Amino acid sequence: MPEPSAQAIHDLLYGMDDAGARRVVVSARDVWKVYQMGSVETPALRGVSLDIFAGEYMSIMGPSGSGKSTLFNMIGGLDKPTSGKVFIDEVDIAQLDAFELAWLRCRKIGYVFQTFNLIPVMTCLENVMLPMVFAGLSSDDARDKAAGLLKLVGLGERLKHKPPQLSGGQQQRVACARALANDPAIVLADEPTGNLDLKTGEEIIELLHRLKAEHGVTIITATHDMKMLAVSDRVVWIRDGICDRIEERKDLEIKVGEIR
Amino acid sequence: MQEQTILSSADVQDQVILPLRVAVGMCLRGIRTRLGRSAITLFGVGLGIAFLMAVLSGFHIQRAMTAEAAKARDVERRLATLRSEVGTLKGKAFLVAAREPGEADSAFLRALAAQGAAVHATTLAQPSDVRVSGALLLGNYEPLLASAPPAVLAAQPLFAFGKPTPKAAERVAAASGRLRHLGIELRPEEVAQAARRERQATYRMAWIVAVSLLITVGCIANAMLMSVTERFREIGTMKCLGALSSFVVKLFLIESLLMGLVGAVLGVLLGVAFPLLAYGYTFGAAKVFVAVDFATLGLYALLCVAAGVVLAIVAAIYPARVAAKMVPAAALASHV
Repeated sequence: MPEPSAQAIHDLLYGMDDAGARRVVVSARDVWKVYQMGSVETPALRGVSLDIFAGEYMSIMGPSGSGKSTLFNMIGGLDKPTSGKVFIDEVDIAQLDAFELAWLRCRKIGYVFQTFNLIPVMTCLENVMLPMVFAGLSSDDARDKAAGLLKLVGLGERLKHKPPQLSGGQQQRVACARALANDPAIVLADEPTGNLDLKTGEEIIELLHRLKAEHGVTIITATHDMKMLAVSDRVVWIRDGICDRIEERKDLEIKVGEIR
Repeated sequence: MQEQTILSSADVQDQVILPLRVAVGMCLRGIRTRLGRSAITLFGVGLGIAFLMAVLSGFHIQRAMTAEAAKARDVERRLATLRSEVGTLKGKAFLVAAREPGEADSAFLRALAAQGAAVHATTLAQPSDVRVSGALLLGNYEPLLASAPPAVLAAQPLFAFGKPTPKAAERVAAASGRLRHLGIELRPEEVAQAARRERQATYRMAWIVAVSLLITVGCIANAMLMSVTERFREIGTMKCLGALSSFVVKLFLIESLLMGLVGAVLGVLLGVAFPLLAYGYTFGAAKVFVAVDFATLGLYALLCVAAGVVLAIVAAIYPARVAAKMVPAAALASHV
């Protein structure tokens, strides 16, 4: 069966008029992921296709167990699909070797996790410096840049603190600063507000939104936090491993209004 | 197929390979900040090596002490034999011929001199004005019965003291007609029995060393496995941030090398101190220090340190490789 081109699918989904204006930065094509548990095969994703455009705030929503974290891992190059393809900046990540994949994770993608995943023995500054060290930046340059990023997320005074000495919200800010270390094209945030209370969760959402607006970073989040809807440009609803529907911002606002 | 090559030819580059210096620095900082956890790993490695070293050096000290006691008994016995033949030893002179003399022989000559007797080596011209009270054949004396200088063989009484190997004992027993007195009190079958006992003791020691080596392997492998597996998430995080698998493995290998080295050195010190103190307390420190051969203990120490380092690396290499090969999603999802 001939595979439809990315352009064709895009035209199909969004119409011809804005196809030329927006650049696709992440593209998933018929992605399947089947987990083998003993003799039982559990499909987590059953053929998901979607495009994510440069500079947009995209939320992947769905109940837990729907496969959104799995999709998130595929998009981020953290796991390999059983079948189907994922393109980041038009590069098929299945074609990359270990060196190229590491380069991609280092330079093109910034990760923010639900559990923060900061290195507990390193200071905030060192945590933010780490991706730059991996990118081969000199430690002086890395230090200056990391200090700047921590200031950007509002933690300019906590450079020498270790993550366990900080609150959850502050740790997530450090993680956001770390995600931006190598000026990535995409920031992937997996349930960034999942371990935070309502207020700090809102602060993180606000921060992500600001990063998108001010720095033009593409933000992709997997979440079931409805607060995310307000800042998302588009929302992908995942249900039972398939892409249920993709909604634009303007449709969302009407719907949210209706619920209220 | 062609389409794929076009797609992957976009501007993706290879990740830089970081110099070893960065890995070492990161490791040292990790160990320093994780001091409590590092101490536990060190304790595991050190304990294993201390056990091995204690077993090895304990055996050595025990052997040395037994040998020392046997030597002293031997010297006493020889002196008693001499006395029974020539009376008091003070002022007496003896001719000596030796072949491959051992430590017991030199200790015997020293004791003889301490008793006030003079000994004359047969290589020197025999001083004619000395009245000789007898001649001594020492060491592997059996060939000496034929090859010693005539002056020695002619001297009366003639004594033979030496290493009682079963064969020599047999042959000397056959030639004993030529000796005024034989220095060996053990019969050939007794000598053979002693050799058998010695062999059995060696087997027993080898067995105990093998078991203690196993325990050491267990101790170290457990400590290193724990210290790596509990950081699977950290490994996953590092890979997300762009670390190469080889860098992650390098990081853990350097850490385990340092841990193995420091732990093994501490373990060796502990392991050698314990039997030294115990034997020193029982038999007196001076006796132990005279008996123990520190070169042998040094060799054991080197062996133990090498074993500690190698075991630590081998025990860390497996989980580190597993963790480095994991897809980041799986490493991040692991809860240890």
